[in-house]
Amino acid sequence: MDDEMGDLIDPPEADLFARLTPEGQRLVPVPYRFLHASPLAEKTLSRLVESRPYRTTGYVCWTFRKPISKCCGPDD
Amino acid sequence: MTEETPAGENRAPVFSLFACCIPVRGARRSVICDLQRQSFQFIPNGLYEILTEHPGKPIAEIQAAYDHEYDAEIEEYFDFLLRHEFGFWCRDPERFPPLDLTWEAPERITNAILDVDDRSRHDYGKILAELDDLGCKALEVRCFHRCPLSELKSILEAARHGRLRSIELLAGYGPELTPEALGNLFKEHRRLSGVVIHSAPEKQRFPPDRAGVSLEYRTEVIDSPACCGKIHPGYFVVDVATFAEAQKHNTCLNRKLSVDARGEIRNCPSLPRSFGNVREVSLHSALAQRDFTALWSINKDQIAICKDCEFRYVCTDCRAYLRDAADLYSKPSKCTYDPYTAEWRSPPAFSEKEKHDEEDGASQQRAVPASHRHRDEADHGGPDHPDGHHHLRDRQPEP
Repeated sequence: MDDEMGDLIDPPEADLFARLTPEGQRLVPVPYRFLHASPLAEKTLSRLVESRPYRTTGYVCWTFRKPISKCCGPDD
Repeated sequence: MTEETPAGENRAPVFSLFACCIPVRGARRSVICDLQRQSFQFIPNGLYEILTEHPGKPIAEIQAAYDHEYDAEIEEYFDFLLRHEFGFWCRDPERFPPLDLTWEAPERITNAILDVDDRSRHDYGKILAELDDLGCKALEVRCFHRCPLSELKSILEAARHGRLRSIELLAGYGPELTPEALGNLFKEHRRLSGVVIHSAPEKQRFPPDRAGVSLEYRTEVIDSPACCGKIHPGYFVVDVATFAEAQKHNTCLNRKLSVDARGEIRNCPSLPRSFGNVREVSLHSALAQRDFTALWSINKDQIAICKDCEFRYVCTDCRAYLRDAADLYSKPSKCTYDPYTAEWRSPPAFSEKEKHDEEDGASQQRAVPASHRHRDEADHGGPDHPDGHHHLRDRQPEP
């Protein structure tokens, strides 16, 4: 219990990177620094890794860019 | 005990395209669509072949695959890609998977057209409420007549508390539709995303304001749905959402619903099939009819000629005006581009549009988020000649 609490209150500068799995360490662009220092951090990272190719699924832009109709000519 | 080396340390570097930079092959030339920068560049089909048939191979291996006959050209190709920041050298390309281009949307209808003329008797509140129920997020209102400002205001007022994210207005010119009056409309209705005034005495174009709202006066007369269906580069959209949707769906009609000037519910006001009148039938029940979604899945890979066009995933299709009206899979009749010659039959839209964009500093193809990678925009030399007809294309490597 004490150990778990210790993990949760690790200061932000704790070396989280060193605690990642070898797979997690190879993934440079993942913002591991932003994961809070908890025993779940590695699992969270793994989920991020697994989901990376799918993150654009359901991509929603705040504005609708496609032309809804096409009545205007190119050279008016 | 052996020491573990990081993955790929001993491997020769290979060229990897950024996941958002996707090559698309055409009959005569190809393009690389940069979905993040919302732009595209022409490339020769030889380079397309290298990128798609030899991915993840070191340059020496690719040169060997072509019997070292095109070593200099292949190096030039990769210099071109690097200079335009389409990719990077790395030793571990497997760490950079491609984008998943599955397209999904939670809305049953994503966009809608509402046509209005001087004989229309629409109940705007009812129509907009029903569009809200369907989750519609973008609406274009096309007023074919000389539209009084009060009518535009009443349409926008009906949408004031709805879920629409953007409303575009197309309206016939009247003296009261001044830039100032319309500017006030923009301020009052923040979801208004653009206004085009047709039949104006002179053309005028105002660059998008801080909120991205554009205002344009055009001299052309747009007085009926028959004016729709024009296809030219000004209507190309290079972004993830459109590119992904275009893989399996029709880029114009998918998740679209239209109410024409008489209140008939259609896929598109120019299509003959009506699914009932909005005064008698709810949009829900029109949408529930089996045929309503029949055209949604006709994608550009199924359409004659379009399937050989390099623009097929950035172009919005038209199913209303076809070269062969009897063939659902026929090319749009108002498209003048021939992918087999890589030429536009009518005056070249590219140069004019690009010139126009340069002038007002608001390029659709280069609407780049400031945070994105920097590109040397001034560099137009070398193999990246925009028409794609440069010397390298004529020296395409043969396997």
